[in-house]
Amino acid sequence: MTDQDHRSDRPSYRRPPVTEAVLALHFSAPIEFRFLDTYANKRKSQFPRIEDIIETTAAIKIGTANSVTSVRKIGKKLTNQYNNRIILANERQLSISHLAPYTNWEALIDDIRAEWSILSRHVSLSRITKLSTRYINRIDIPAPVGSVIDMTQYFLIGLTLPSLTSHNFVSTFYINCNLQDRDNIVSYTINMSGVNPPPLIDHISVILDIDCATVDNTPLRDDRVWELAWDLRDRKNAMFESCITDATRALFR
Amino acid sequence: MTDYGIAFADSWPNPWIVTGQLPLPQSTLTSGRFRANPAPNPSPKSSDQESTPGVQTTLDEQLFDNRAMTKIAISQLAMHLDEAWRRVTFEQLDALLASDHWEEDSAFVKRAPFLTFLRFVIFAGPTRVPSLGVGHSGNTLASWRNDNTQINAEFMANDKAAVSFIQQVGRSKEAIVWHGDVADLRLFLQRNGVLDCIL
Repeated sequence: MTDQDHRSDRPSYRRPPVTEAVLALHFSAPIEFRFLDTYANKRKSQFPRIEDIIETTAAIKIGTANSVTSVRKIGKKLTNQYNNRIILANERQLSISHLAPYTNWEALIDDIRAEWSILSRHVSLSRITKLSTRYINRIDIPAPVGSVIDMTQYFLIGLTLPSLTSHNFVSTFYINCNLQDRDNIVSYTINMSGVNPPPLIDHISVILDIDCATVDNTPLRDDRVWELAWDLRDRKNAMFESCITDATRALFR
Repeated sequence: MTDYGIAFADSWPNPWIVTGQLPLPQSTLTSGRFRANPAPNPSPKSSDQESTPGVQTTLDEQLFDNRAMTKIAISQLAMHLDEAWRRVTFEQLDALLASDHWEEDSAFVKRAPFLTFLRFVIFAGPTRVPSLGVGHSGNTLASWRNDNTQINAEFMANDKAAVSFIQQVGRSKEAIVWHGDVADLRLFLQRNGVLDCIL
């Protein structure tokens, strides 16, 4: 199957609500930091801002005053000169983030393919075992000061509250759920929350953050990886569309 | 900030839920597959992981970070901004936060006042791109000018702004100063007949 064979069911939006799109490759074996360092240096012309990703651990011995903390470099964060493309390369994962304004999936997958082809030259023993993609959408709904929004007009995902609460209104909320498909091929992590304060005047804003990942840790052949990535994208789009209504879609058109 | 509310239905079950589309935790519990603790996201977003710059920050790096902050702030609202407007604003920020133009009394752009500026731009919809500057305290300065009027605005944190403009009235020039919430600024400019200066 070629890239051109794929068609997404997601409508093309004039003003997509995506604030960040992520595509991540997960590896079978940890990549040594020195290889990540070499990779980061090779990418410096395109990604001039390079930072170390650090892991901080703390151990406390109960009953004593002894504690140990350690800081370890586990990867590299690369930022391009326009600050809209960010690579996170760590021991077990390579991901690329496209910040808003969102362009398209083709650009995202092309970028990760290019980065993987550079990194994999140094880490030929490491294979891709898992793929994941995450789209963080911020949906800005017009709402003049003091107005009350019926969320069911905009979302088919939400909260269940007892009738006692019907005379109150929700000022903040957070929903997190993890779903696994029946065929055990992919899992979804959905986060939904209100943004407080909303970034726009006379609006309420809701984050709908959908992460779709392969379930099995099976080593993938390189030719299968990109095919699977397109499949994840279609599933992620279908999940997004199933969470919103036409009133929401009208906000992006 | 503004009070907003999200309504819920008066009856149970609440129509927030569409069963069958997205199973509730209870339905997966019966199949023994409910996870008590939500799983972390497999794909890290760019701000998820703690990072530290490779080298201690030089002026160039601080300027890069400051430009990054402003551009990311704009990008996060890009769906509401005209592409040309965004491009010209980026160019101005690049010039404003360039080491070549940096002087001893130059100041970095502070995030909160800059967000106030963006909130005003999206709310009031000025089509003309202002000349941008930074006040000594990091507030965002914006200036619009046409044949008759020059509007100078200082955007501060928490949606506050101070605006002044000079108008020709008869043989004299009259200075008008305003201070308030940016949500009221467009109305103020309209009431004084100078809205066309930003449109």
